[in-house]
Amino acid sequence: MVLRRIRFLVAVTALLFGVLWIRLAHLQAMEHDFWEREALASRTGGRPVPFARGDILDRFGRPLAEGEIVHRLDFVFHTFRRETPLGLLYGALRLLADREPELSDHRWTLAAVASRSEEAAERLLEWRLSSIRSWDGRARGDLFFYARRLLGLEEREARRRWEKALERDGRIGDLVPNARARIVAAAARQREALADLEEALGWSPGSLLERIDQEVARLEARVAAETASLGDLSVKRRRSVRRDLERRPRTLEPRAPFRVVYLIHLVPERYAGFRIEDVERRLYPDETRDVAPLLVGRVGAPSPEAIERRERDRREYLRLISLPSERKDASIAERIALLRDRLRFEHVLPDEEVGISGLERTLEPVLRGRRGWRLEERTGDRRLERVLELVAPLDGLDVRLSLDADLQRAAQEVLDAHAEKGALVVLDPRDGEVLALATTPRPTRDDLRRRYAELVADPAGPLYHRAYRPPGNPPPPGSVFKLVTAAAALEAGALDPAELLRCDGTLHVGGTVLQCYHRLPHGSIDVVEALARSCNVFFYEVARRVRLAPLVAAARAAGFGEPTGIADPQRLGLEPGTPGLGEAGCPLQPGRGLLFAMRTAIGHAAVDDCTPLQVARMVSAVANGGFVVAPRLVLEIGGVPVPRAAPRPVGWSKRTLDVLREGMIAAVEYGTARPTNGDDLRRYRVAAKTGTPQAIERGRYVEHAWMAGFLPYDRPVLAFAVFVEDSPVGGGRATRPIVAALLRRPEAQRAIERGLAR
Amino acid sequence: MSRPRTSFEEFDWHLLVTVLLTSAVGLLFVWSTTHEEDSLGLLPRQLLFLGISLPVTALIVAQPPRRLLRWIWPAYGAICLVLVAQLFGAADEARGTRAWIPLVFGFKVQPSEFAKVVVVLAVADLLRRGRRLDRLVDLAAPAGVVAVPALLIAAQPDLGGAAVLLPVLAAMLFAAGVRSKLVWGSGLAIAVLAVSAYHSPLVRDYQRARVRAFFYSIPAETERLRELRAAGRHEEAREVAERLRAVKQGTNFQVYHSMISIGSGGWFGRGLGRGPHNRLGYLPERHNDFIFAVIGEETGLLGSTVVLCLHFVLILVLYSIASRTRDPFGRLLVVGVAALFTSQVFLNVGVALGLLPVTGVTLPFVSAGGSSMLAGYVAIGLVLSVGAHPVASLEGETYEEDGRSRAGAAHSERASADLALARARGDRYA
Repeated sequence: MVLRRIRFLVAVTALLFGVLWIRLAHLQAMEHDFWEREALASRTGGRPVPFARGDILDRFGRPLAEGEIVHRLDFVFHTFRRETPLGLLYGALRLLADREPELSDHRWTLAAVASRSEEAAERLLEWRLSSIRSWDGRARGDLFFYARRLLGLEEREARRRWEKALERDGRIGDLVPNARARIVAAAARQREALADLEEALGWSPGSLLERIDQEVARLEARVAAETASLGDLSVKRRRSVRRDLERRPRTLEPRAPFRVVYLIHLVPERYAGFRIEDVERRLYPDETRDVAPLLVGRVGAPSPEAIERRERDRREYLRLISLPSERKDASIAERIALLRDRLRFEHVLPDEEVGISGLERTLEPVLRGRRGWRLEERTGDRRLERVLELVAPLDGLDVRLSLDADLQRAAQEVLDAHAEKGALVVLDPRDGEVLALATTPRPTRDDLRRRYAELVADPAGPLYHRAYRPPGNPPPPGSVFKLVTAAAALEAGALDPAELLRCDGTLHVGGTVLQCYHRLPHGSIDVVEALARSCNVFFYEVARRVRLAPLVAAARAAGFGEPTGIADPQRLGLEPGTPGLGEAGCPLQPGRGLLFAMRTAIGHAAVDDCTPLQVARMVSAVANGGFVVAPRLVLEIGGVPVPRAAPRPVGWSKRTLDVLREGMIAAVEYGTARPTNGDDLRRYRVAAKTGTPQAIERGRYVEHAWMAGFLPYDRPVLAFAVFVEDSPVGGGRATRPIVAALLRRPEAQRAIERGLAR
Repeated sequence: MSRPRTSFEEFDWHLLVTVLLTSAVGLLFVWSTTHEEDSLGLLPRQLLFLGISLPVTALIVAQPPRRLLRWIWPAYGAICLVLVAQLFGAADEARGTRAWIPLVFGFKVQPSEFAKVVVVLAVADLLRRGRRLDRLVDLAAPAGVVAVPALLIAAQPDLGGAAVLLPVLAAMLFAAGVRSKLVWGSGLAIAVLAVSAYHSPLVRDYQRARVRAFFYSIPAETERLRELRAAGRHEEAREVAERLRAVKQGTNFQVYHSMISIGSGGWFGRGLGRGPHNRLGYLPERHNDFIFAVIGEETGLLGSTVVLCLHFVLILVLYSIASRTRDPFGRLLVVGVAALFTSQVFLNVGVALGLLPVTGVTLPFVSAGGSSMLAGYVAIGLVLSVGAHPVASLEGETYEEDGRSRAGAAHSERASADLALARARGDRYA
């Protein structure tokens, strides 16, 4: 019998070992692939590697916008609340305060918990467990969690003691001996760690916790706002809203010093709740920060649509990879690979910066690089062990603009000083390279960041770059257009350069009285003098001779009625649909009749709309021997020159162009741009034409002021257009000081010298 | 008369070799789990423990088992006293348990490991007299002898340590000839009790939740998550994913990583000292309670089968010694030791494989730790001693020797009773 029984025991033993072995073989042989995947997933994690956004440089390579990688200090309240002594103590006290408002005399903040940790611990530990009997299960569970973690108890043991204490009507402090000293010591250790962090950040003592308190207050407000509509029913949903918000990292310091990075990476558990993220941030260098904020544009958070696109792809990706393997045919595998790559490398992440205006937005496809990705292996305590796989990021391409940062700054300062509203364009007439593109009023980058809403509402339209995108109705070119009228007449043979026409100051056409500026008669004058003095009557007569069609044709040939294509995405080789700078096209207006032709001749009617950039292009054609250039703003993308569009011949003979030039020189000598008050444009050998168009702006009669020209007139290297909107004084008087002031600046002189040297 | 000789013809070399092999495996994995670039980890310590254990074993082997008899109850009393003393705060509470008592030079001792061996001895002594074990009341004495230290150990709290003792008691009672009906009856009763306990109001919700969490299958839930995602039901999938994450990081953390370690080992493992989960520190207690997970990861199905086989062979050898031993005390002692090792192996490996809830039982001769190893070698020493003194104890020579001692009279009485019993049953052993 005994032997039999021993045999039976042997059989039982064999059975037990058999069970173990079968389970073992099941795990290792049959479920091996699953556990292998789990092993990899639990140890490793993919992380994006940021790229550096491409720089935007001026023509000499000086940065207008730089990409750089900074270490950002983030704070995750969820982790902090659950894994640090102060966080736990705070969480517990807040829970008590929420549940038993009449018993809590004090609204605890983290700063208060830290500075009076002894009192805080006392508050928690004196709490009777029996008093939470009426709480709901979740709240009880939360309090248990806080107490257990604070007192360093393992869950099972804590549960046992909790039950025991509950039976004896004990307090939280009865769970372990010396509970208060334990908590206070742990809090002191954490305070020390936080003080180290503060020192590394260069913050004043105590400010870190105050800052965290602010963040927490903001978070609470957000939770309240998002759950306000939920009603009392969905406790679960409410908790999940809170959890999601608490888990969202909040940036404490966008650029943490390296010492902070070192501290946190050295002992991560000492800084639970704090994280360092290496992020790419746009840097606008101080020297060029505000020279062209509207043109260069800025970066900001990605649009909700972009985030939504990413989320859609993420869901599709999750769905496809979850398909059973037999349904994953080649096309699905391909789609999975595509989606994975998009999610890893391309889709905009919520915390990334994208161009939201100006060139930053237009050039987004090239400035934005391609994120890298790395697979990290981490140790059990979440330290980085090694990088298993690395796809290096591709940095964005640098973009070199034609702008001359110095000249741009000078132009902007001069314009700001002399005009309330207006624009100033300087370009090289030979190839259309834009050297300066100023507008006023214009915001600084600080304005854009801090008072964007005000800027949007401002009736002066400070967010519009008046050089290419005027707010409201674009202005008419006015007398500046007389250059085109003269050219059309000369080319049509309707006017001889030497022919004299008479001006009495007024002209009667049908029942309408047309007049020269201030009705001053000019007498008998030739076309050069008419251009110099900007005689309306002379050009009315010309219009009567040539009629409307040739005028309109000439306007078109000179580039009116179409956008100049500055930074046109298509011309830059960017995908169709890329947002451009929003340049106004200013189409020609339809109309007919003599009066319409006459008004067109002096730069109204058919050409009622134009931009300073178009005007500058038109005078460039006069300067460069008859070619309508395509203004270029972007010279190189990633070191590769952007192909220049071939200039289009305007179709005016040299004789005609000489006449126009003579008229413009004469205007500077004795005409509308003649020297006054020491502003002598002759010194700079400027050839120019002024204009004083009239317009109705918001029901009010206004006059604008123009001057367009080039210099030096014998070998033009700069062409310019100045526009002053709603000017109190006429064309020349308003614009001459601006041109003179700009040319007096050494930056302009250098630009001329450089232009001559090219 | 001379000292009884230890008979080396009867000495069981198989047992010693198996145990030494198992210990060698243990040393390998203690090294593997604790070594660093510039240190051997706990290996030197473990070697030191082995160095202490082997002479102790030799010393015990040289003693005829009968000589132990008079020390059993004093030892039992002493160990119970120590366990009681432990409950009153003699031990450190740092790890939430009072299982350890500090000794010299920073070494600590875990009395419960020795208590297990002493309990086996005590029960063997109780049952050796061959009293009838037909009624339930007959089981009261041995059950009581086990219950006292078991409850004390459970109160430390070390539920695993206490749980190990129940199968030991069952096996020894069974070997001692308890009535079959009692065996089946109690088995049934335990099953009914377990099921009704789960549904009774005495069991709290969180405890039920823990039981349910134990049956939560990560592969199955992952599969469900996959299906939900494949069907495009992203909201539901999110909830399942949340729960999975909570289980992996919370309640089942240790077991999850243990199963990862074992499962990812595959057929042949990743090589000694090269298991990533081991080296990167994902498993808490991987050098003792979860050492089997590391064996699984680093040596695969092959290696872990070898280790299981070593333990199985060890236990088989024990049972073969038991079946050869005619002395009831010796036989029961060996059966008890075999059952002790069986339940330790089953509890330890079962936890690592995710079959049982986490208990915290060491794997005999493999897990790091001095107390466990020394207690194991003491048990082996006792068994070897039983094996090496088969005749001597049967013929009662030792009793005459010991007759001079204070308890001599009692001993010779017992001895003659045993002899009579042995002879009465002798035919059965043939």
